[in-house]
Amino acid sequence: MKSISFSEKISNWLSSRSIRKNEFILSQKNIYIIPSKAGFAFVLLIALMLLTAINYQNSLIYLFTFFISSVFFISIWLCFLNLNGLRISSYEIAECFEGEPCPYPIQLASISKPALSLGMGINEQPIIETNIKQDSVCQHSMLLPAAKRGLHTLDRLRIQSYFPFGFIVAWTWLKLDAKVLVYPKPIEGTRVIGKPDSLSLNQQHLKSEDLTELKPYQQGETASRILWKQYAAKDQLVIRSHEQGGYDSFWLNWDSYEAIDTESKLQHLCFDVLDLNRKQQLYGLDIPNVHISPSSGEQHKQRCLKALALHGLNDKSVFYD
Amino acid sequence: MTRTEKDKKSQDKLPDQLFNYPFSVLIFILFLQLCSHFSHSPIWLILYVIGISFFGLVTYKLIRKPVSTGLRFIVVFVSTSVFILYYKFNFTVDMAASFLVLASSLKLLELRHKKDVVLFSYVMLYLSAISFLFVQSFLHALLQLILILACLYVLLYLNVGSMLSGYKVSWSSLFKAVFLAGPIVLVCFLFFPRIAPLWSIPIKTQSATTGMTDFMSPGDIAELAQSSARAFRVSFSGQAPENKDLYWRGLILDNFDGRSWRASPPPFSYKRFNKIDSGLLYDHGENSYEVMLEPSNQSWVYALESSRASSSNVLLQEAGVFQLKTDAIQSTRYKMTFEKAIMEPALIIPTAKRLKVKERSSTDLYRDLQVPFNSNPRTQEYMNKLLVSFPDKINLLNYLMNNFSRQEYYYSLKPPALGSDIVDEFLFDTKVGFCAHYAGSLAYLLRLAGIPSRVIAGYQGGEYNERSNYYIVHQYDAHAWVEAKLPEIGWVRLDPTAMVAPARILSGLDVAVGDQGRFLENSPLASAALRISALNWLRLRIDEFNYQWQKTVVNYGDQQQRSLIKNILGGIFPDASDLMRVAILLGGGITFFTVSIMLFLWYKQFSGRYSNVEKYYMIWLYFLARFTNLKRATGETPKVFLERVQSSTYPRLAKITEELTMKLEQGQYKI
Repeated sequence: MKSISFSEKISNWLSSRSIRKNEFILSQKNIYIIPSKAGFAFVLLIALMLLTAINYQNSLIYLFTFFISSVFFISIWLCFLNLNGLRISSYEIAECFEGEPCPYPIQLASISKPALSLGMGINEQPIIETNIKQDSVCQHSMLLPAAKRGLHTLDRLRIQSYFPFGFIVAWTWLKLDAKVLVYPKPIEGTRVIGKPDSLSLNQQHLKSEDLTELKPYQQGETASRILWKQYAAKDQLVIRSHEQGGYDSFWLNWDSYEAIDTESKLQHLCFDVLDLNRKQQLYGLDIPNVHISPSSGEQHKQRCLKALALHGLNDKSVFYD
Repeated sequence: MTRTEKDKKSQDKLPDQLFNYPFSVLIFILFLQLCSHFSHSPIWLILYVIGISFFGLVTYKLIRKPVSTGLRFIVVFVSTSVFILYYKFNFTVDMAASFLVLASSLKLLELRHKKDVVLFSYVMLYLSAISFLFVQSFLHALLQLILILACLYVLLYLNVGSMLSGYKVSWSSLFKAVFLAGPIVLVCFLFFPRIAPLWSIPIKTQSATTGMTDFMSPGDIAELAQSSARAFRVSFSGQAPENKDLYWRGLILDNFDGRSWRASPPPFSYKRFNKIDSGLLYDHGENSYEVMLEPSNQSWVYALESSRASSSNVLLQEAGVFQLKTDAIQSTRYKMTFEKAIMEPALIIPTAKRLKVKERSSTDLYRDLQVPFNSNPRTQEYMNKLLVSFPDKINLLNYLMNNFSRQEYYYSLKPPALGSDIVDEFLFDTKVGFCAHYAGSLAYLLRLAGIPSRVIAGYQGGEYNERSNYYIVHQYDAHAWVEAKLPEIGWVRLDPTAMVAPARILSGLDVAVGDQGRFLENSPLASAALRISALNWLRLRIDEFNYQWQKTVVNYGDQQQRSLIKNILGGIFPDASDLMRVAILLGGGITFFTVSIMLFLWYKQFSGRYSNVEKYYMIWLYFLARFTNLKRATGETPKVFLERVQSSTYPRLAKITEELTMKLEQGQYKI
């Protein structure tokens, strides 16, 4: 077997540390520690005191100097242990609209000890400053500058702490898999005149229950649509795939807006999705490559918005997960 | 939405606005600092700093606005000008300290950023450290401990912020840091090598201390008698001499100008060649004693007659007088060895005691015979007459000494003022005097008779603290006596005061002065402390404690360190060099405590997370993985792992594993 070269080892080591994960637990493997600027100034102060003690042969100044230098020394440990064991995770995907700051979701949990004066950010300037109590979990949204629509992953997260006295800074770089799905900005669009109103394009009245297709109930759908008779007979939660009678269901079409460019179209569609959802109406989405049949509810809205956010982008993983 | 609004608000914060910091704690720290530097700061400075901090408090708490730049400029300008006018660029340590106090109080008015507060705390810590140059009492050390805690609190506050109150744990981390520091501090303090000063610094302070001076005109020592301050403390390793033999020689006053006695400058030869008696340094024999000198700003050493230096900070001067290597600006400890007086046939001269004094070099002998020409004519005439009737010098001396008790001489702390020919007026007119009068007159008389003699200034006696077996020598024990060289006998000590007031030598000044009410009349408290027995008891216990503090902590130095290290490691590493031993103890101690602290902290964090059974199980897993090829895979349940161990070739290990697994499962399902 050939032995691997040193540089290979280093690069292996580096890549092994930079695996993107949903959850990290801080330990001596990923905490870095170094005196801060104030810490270096403090070391200078200690040196000055020691010099004074030596030159004046003063025993009590020696004692004083040793005292504060030991406190400095101990604070290295306290600083490390403050971060040690901290659990950082991010499993949910946050959402926002284009133009808003992106709230990357980060969950901090500390077991059996508090973690104090934490600063989180993507560089040395922390964006969130927080303290975590013993045995508690904290949900934070790290607001980063607005991004274009699509799925965004947090670049590199830095968590640092100057606890307890500011002499020492302990920090860690994590490739946390924190994600934000950015929807297009909702802007009301003018519809193409002459064409039949896209909103009422597919007004069809379903006449009887027999015509409706049945499909299994999924979480998030309105419980009122469950066919309880079926449940009693077959022990299965079943709903009708189309809302029946009395309501209009609308199709949101790609071509029904005056705007030509894709982004504007997506923005108008986004506005209409939100609008119809607010009005609690049935609507379906019909854009290139994606066809969502009419429905309503939060989950349906999100499906539609996701489709709009990811339209034309490669990353479909969120959509089909 | 609310979140973004909040963010906007924090961004709109004006840069000039005050941020949150514990202002009252800063004021408290500054106040403690004033207390620490009270002894040597001028009163205007203290009032000024109090005024500025009050002003700062008002602007911070009530007006909630920083002080305007113009006003700050004016305050800084006025302060520095007053300071310069007061100190006039005389660089002393206390001036530097006062300057730091003033500057940091001005900094209080312009704390705008976090780093300003950090800087303020650092300066406070440094000021606190250098305050030990002036005061070294135990109470002062406690005060500095509070100061350190307050400064650390400020730093903690800056980092944990206003959430501090909600998180008691951060308080505990302050105390954790301080307590865990303890053992490391101890190791460093005991074993950190005491290096010789890197360069010499002008160390003189302006503060005046009571004590001896190198010239004596009648009345000076009487002033000292009003002071109950400590001069030094002594503990004897063996039997101490009787109180009446405790003559602490300080300095030789051998130059008489007709009015006062002075110490003549040391001869050239001694300036160059004064050396330590290195052979004796660490051999303290039976009759050694240790002196703890209070700060005197002088280099004089007080030692019993026929003593030899036993510590390296003492140099031998001419005629058996010693000197410190550096001035005693701090309390100083030195050891001496003395020779017990050999029983001798008593001399016929009263109070005389034979001495073993190293002679001056032959070129300096004239110093003990010098007299001013035309002063004190009546005394000169008197001596001329005496010389005719007493041709034998011993008889003459005998007569002179007895004359003090025969004639009506009085001992008093408030003698009448004297004119220009003071010996004349004292001997023949007023006849009331203090030890300085008697000693000065006798030495002058002897010199007129051609007997080499000199005045010795020092202390006599001391207060014995029975419980801790040491003597306290107070300023009011200051004394002056005479040494004369008699033909065929050599140097003898003569104390004319003992002829006039024997009680002064036998029982001390307070008894000798008796009802005169002059003793310590300016300090009624100290006087009361001596007379009321309960207070006296308390005073002695406090003094005992302070003495121990000074002996063990304040004066822990190179010599103490060497003997401690020798005691600890002498048996184990008999051949190791001093440096080696220091390295072993310092390095070993620090490593040991660091590792223990690390393990302690780690364990505390670890222990909260797992139950005891889980801990044992994990330790067992570690051993299995370390010494056998049985390693629990991630995600493998304890039961599956147990089966794997049972199927392996270690039946005994399997049994233990089984037991632990059982316990683990019981523990988990009980809850």
